[in-house]
Amino acid sequence: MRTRILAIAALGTLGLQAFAASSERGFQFLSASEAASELGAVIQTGSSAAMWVWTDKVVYSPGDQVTVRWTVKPNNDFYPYTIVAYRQNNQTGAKSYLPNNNSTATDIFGNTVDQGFRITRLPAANKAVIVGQGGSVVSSTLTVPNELGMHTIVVQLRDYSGGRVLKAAYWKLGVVSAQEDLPSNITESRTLTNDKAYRIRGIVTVRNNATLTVNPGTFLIGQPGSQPPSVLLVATNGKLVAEGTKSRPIIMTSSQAVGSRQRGDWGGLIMLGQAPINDPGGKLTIEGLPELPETNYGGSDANHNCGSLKYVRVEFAGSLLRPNEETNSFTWGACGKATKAEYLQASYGLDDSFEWFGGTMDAKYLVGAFGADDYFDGQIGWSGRVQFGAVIANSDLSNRGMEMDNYERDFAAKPLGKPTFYNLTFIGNAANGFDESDSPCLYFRRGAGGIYNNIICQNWTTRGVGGANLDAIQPNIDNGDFNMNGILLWENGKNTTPAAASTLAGQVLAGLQAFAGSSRNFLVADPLLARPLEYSDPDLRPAPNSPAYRASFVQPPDDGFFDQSATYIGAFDQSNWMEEWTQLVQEQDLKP
Amino acid sequence: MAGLLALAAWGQTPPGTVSGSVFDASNGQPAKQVTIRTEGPQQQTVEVNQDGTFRLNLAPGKYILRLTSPLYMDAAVEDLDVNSGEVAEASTVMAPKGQSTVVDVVERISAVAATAEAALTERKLSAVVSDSLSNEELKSGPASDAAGALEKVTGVSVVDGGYVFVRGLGERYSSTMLNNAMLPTTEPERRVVPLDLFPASLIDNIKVLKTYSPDLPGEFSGGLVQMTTVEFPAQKTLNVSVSYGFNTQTTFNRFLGQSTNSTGEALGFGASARDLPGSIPADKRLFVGNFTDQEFQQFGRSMPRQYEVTPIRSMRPSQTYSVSGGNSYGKLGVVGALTFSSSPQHINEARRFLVNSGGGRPQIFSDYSDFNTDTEGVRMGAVLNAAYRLNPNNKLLFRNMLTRDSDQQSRVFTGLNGGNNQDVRSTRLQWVERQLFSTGVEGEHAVASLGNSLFFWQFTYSLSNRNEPNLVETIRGRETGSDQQFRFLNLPESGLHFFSKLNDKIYEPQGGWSKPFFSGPVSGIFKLGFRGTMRRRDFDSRRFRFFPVRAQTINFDAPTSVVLGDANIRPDGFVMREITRGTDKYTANMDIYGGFAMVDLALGPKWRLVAGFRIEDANIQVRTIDPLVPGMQPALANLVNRDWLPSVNAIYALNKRQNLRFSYGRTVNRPDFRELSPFEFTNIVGGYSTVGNPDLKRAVIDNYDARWEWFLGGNQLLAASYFHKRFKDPIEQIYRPTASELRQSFINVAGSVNQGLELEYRQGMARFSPKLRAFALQSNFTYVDSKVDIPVDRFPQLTSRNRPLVGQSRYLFNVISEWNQPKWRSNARFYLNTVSRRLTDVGTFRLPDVYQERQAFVDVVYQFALSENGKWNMRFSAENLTDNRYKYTQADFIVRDFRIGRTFTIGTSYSFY
Repeated sequence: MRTRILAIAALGTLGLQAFAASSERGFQFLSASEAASELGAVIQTGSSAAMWVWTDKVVYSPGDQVTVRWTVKPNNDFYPYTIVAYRQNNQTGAKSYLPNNNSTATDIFGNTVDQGFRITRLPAANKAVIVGQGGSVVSSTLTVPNELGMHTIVVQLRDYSGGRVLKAAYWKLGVVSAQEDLPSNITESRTLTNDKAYRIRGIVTVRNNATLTVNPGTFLIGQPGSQPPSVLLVATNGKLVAEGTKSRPIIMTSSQAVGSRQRGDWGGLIMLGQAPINDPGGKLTIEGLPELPETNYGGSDANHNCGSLKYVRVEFAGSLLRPNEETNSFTWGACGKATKAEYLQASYGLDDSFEWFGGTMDAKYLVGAFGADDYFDGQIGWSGRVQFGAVIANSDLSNRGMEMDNYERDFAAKPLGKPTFYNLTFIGNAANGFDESDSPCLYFRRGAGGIYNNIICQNWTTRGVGGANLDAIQPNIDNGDFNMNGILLWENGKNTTPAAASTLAGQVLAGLQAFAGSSRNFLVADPLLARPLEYSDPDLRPAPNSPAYRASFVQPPDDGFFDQSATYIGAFDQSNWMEEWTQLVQEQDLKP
Repeated sequence: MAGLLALAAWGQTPPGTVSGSVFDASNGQPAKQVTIRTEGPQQQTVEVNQDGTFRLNLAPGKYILRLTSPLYMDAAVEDLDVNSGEVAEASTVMAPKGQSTVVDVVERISAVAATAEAALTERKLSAVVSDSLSNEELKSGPASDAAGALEKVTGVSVVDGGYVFVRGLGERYSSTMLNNAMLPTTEPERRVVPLDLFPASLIDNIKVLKTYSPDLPGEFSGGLVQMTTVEFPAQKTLNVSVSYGFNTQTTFNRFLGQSTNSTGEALGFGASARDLPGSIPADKRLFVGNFTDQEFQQFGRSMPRQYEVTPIRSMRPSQTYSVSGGNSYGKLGVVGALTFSSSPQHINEARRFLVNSGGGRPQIFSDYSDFNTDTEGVRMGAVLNAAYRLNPNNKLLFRNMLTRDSDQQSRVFTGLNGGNNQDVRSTRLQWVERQLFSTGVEGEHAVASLGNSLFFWQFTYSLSNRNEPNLVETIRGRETGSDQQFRFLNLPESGLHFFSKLNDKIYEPQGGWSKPFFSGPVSGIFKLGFRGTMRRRDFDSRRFRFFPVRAQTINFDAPTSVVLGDANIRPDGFVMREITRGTDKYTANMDIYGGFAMVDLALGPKWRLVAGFRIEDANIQVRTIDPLVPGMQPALANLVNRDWLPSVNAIYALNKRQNLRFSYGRTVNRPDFRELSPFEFTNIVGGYSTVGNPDLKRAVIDNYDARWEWFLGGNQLLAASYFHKRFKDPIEQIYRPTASELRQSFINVAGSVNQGLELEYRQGMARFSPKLRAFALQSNFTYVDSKVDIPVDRFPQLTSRNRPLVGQSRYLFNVISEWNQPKWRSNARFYLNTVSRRLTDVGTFRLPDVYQERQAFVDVVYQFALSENGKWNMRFSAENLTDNRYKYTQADFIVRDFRIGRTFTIGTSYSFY
């Protein structure tokens, strides 16, 4: 029997049906001795396989039935693994190991460590049920326990010893007692706890010196069918403190069924402050919303505190208010230095993922994925700092990795927007330009200023570095207000101008080539990222021999904000800070 | 008879002479079919000549002249002294029958009888300063609609085809009345109805009132345009006319048409294929969550998706047909008219948009060098009026007017779009249907037993609507300067379908009572009246857009009809979603109740004084809510005001031919519906979006006028006016940016001052040389100086700190010369019209204001009577002979540049009776 399975495994990828039909719940597994002999002395450090796991909803009530599915693409990974799956209550830390809901670790076949974990080759699975009707791990649905708060479904690939986790997939879900509608005005401080989910319908405004605190692991559900769109708006006299954790991120998402959620299902998160902007009026109405006193932003307090965001995801946002005015996933209007923003993910935004309208706020660890427009967008004089940013555009829709302006209406407006970026990795979709014919990785226009260092751009549509109105940027270059260094470019424009994908001339807009050629460390080389184009389970960490580690990086300044130890180009070295709290699976890959 | 007279003359003192002219009170033209009978020492009866003049030789003594006519109300000139060998001047005016103000005018005659010995045109009589155009002038000019005709009036300029600026004050300060009733508008973004909706052939006369009197609605400052539809026939009439127009850049040229074109659309009725299909629910928004993917796919596929223009190789000439007729049947008079016209216009222009680049230098941001707008306008109109004279003292009138107008517009432009830095090609197909219906009943009752009181009442119901089904735009793009194929772009305007409907109604009851009184040298009329204007508007629109979901499943290089074809409308291709906003639907009311009391006094032979006050209560409410979105709270705006509006007009006769006038009036200007709503109103695609301001106050305006006028006899005149208007809290448009566009809003600025001069001159050339007898000249000139101060602290984005009002020219100049040669049955008119540069768009962000440069138009009309009796006429006109260049500049750049071509029209008309 076991030898037979090995023979089947040699066929490489097999449909789940075949596995399900076989005994032993469809998994091919090896005996420890077989595996050990096969492995020999190889020490496994990771997996080339892609894997994701999900359930049919994101928010459940106790007693609901849950079906868990997964997709596994072995990608020629023939290593043997111990597969462990469990549900973790992120409030208590308690784990319930599948298939028997043991509190101590079992593999998916129910073996404990003492019994000996059973190891197996990775099965190829496409949207296969692992828990639920006909499930390959548990053949009935999982009943949601009466444990309110955030839970995580985790599937781990451990090495043959069962002791070391080589790869894991996570699915965050909420167990709530009720779904509560947020009022349209939050005028007194309050805390949202994760035993409930909260609906956002229309504009929910935090104002009147109120602070809205959102506890870790809380879901906020944006409702469709509202004009103006459903947004959480933090007015200049309000604050949002949403500090999640790696295991309990705060998730603002669509109300629609998993698999059919779309960009623009709801509006997004908007935070407004009173830091300076460079419109001569000093105040503007934020993009995407009607002109009301609470939609104004801008002022003179460079230290304004819009609040604190940590481990927050905003998904499927970006309702359209009028032509050219969609809400962004994260919108910051004139937020100041005291504002905190770390570990934030925007995915499936109809407009930009992160957009700064003026202000001075900083941000770290930003992930933008599958957005229809740009990922990092700054204008109206934003001068903040950003370190560690990862962007993944899939082939649905996308525009530019970064789009920086000074001010659209007056290219020379003062004070100049001059952000500072370090350590970014941008993965494009190489598809033909879609809503704008010129969709490079980095795009500078309208008198942009700023410092852009240690950036990887791979697979963008037209080129690596582009822009417009360069004559308005030249003065900034001349006086050092615009600079770039340590730019690693690879295969941008490979479908539009294949020959140009490996030359500096092909990677940088003609008007900026002289700039790029003058010892600013523009490299055209393969950054050797682990799995950059596996959209639903990407791995953007560079291989040890990657040029990302070459000496062309510029050390981030020692100013208390930047992590000076990031001595590489791009957002990652060997540690993956996107682990667990992000969700990077393409929606079509979740459609049952 | 002659012998008898001669004999009498031989033996007695020589007779005196009475001469004069009789004018039509409504328009100052010579009156026709008038019989004069004398009462006094000698009885005579004469017919007034065709040119309105008469001459009588009478024995000396005191006389009364009785004037009668089938066309006019009876009139009399009293206290006429005829002295031997002297010529007594006895000109007068007669009020047309059937005009509502008729009896009023007759009484004015008696009231100013002391000065009636001078030549009186109605303008001279009029208590207020006005300019008017008679039906004859309308007919002999080149204009085909009311808007075109008004361009020739002193101090009037017409902007955007149909909006009247009187003395440089924009549409905000002008209002329009038809048959003495306020008119609703067909335009959701405008206050007043565009006057190009009214075919000239249906209009009997247009008056532009420039000074205020208390019997007029208080919302008045620049001017009030009063139109009267065709009047009652004196005899059976039936007239048909037809004309064809050839535009040098349209006729027989390539034209961008639309495939929906059908016979119905050629007649102005939109094809049902443009309507929102019935399968798309009317009671539910097409929002995510409301329908399944399959249903959305079905909705998307049922949407009318005609995105491309259909070129027409050779466009037909424009054409106009009209028929009008009337008759009287005993006490009943009926008149009706129908007109139909269809006129295509091709415009190719260059448009540019600027931005401030480094160092604050403007540079071109977007550059559309090939911007084509092809419009085919179809206009239909009908009038049916009836009057029933119960007896000489009681009269009933019914008036009905319907006009319909449709525009099929195809717009295609290509060029650099600075917003996304690529070459784009935009195609927009539009169809707009507008309709205005007005019906009214009115009555006049003279009651001799109540001291010759006159009662007047009127009730008018007007309904205007506008339907714009399926405005659709698609945009394709390619890299700048490349010759690649244009690909479909997923810009927010691209693949947008917009439907809108507007209904605007006015119910307007009004009534008045007036009574003459005499007391020695003081005579006058006392008047009381009221007017209720109840306006109701509802506006509804829906927007839909196709959103792409997974771009790689769609080939964007394919033609737009394939890109958005059925095969691509699917859950992972294009999905259609409704993007109607909560503010895309609103209802609004405006209730104004006004009452007035005034007195019109003749104080001796020199003075006339019209003074009084009006009180107006206004209540404006705008309610914005989307009833299809559950739980939505309505946005309300409400403005309530009571205003006392005093006014004084004094007329002083310097001598028999010269008047001096002084007037003062206080008027108001209220915010319009959309200006008050705190929410954002729809922006018609391509325009600015507009946000109202619920804090707006109504503006108060103090108007001062002085005028000197010299009536040189006949239709000859020399006049000069000075006006000065002080505005408190005037409402001005301002622009402010949001992140990605400019938004228009409104504020009360502290104050502004408008002042100016008008000169007018009308003269027959015979005065200079008998050889020039056939020629007449009239010209007018207006100079306006206006200044608005913009509060810098509140709107720092605006470039100009003070500037003239938007749309205003500093100079307006018209010359009209006429050549009339009855021998050759010919008449020709030559028009020269020029307006100086005017501000069209307020500059922002250090960019200067946009000005439209000086325009000059030359038109010629020639009419020739084919038949001796004048029943069959030919008419040739040549419009825009200089092919005026419409040029808009900003800084040193030309930002808009186009011409509309010369138009040559040939037409003929025939009168059966």
